[in-house]
Amino acid sequence: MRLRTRRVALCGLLLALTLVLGYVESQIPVAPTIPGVKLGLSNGVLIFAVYMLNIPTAFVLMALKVVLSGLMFSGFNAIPYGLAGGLLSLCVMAGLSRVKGLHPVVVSMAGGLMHNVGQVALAMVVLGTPSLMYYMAILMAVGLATGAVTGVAAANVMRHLKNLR
Amino acid sequence: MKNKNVLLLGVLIALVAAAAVLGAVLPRGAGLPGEDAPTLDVTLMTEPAASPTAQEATQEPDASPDASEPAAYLVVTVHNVVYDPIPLTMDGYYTINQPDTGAQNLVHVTPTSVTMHASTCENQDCVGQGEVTLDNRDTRVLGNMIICLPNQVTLALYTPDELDSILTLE
Repeated sequence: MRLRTRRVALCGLLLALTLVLGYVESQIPVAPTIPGVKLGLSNGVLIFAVYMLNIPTAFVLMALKVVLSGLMFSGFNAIPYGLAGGLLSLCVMAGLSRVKGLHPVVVSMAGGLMHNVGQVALAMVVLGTPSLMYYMAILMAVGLATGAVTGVAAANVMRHLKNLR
Repeated sequence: MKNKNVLLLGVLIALVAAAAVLGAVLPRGAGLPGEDAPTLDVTLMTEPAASPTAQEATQEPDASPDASEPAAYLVVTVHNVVYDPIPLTMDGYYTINQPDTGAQNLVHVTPTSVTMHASTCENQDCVGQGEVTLDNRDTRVLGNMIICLPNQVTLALYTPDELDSILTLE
């Protein structure tokens, strides 16, 4: 019972954290000339959930984050794109996180890359323009970089939280 | 232990490289009009107006260099429907209305460039994508396109030669 309560509280905390991070990063222009480039800070929270909690929890967190931030900040239209990116990214990260010997930072980079693949792929389908491939390549490289940043952050948080236990 | 990380990194970088090569090989630009592409129901306006019926083509026609061939064409795609190319002959604004959703995009055109002047979408990414000109379209991230995802409107700037080669292939 106490364990369950603790878990619910932790999930609520993490969800609030992803939402705040999502809002904060929407105010930070990383590369205004390239649409769709953002830091993806909430990816760090998902990395934490994948490693420190469990994979179903991570999926629930991701879905709630996308839907809620769509309703609150980014608009209804952003929800399908967020889900496409989030699902693809989280599937890859969840799978890779169970491979022994892989560092969380590298897993996070894979997730960042796949997130952008998912989003642009959906845009290609919706708009019917396969020629967004070049744009996708740029966003994939960006995803690698931002994934590394959030991965390092998450890895450091996890290292310190392990000592707290 | 370390090898796996390096291996995965290599795979990821290879993926990016593959996408970049594909992107370079694939023709850039939005969907292309077919032989029976519908004509977009828009009127050229000299002033940005909120509604297309408010002001219509007030500029005198003698100012337009219609006699010579236009240097560029605008191809508009709305909800996966590619419309007939619009020859760019003079400065002005086109309003793209979608009455069923209320979405509205205001396009600014010059004889050599296209800009999304305003849009009813919430993220305004399309407005932020700036202008596409015949000079900058090879260096822009989105190539010759301006994309408004929420309204599903794509603008693409083509030269007459590009459209010719495409239309004769079909």
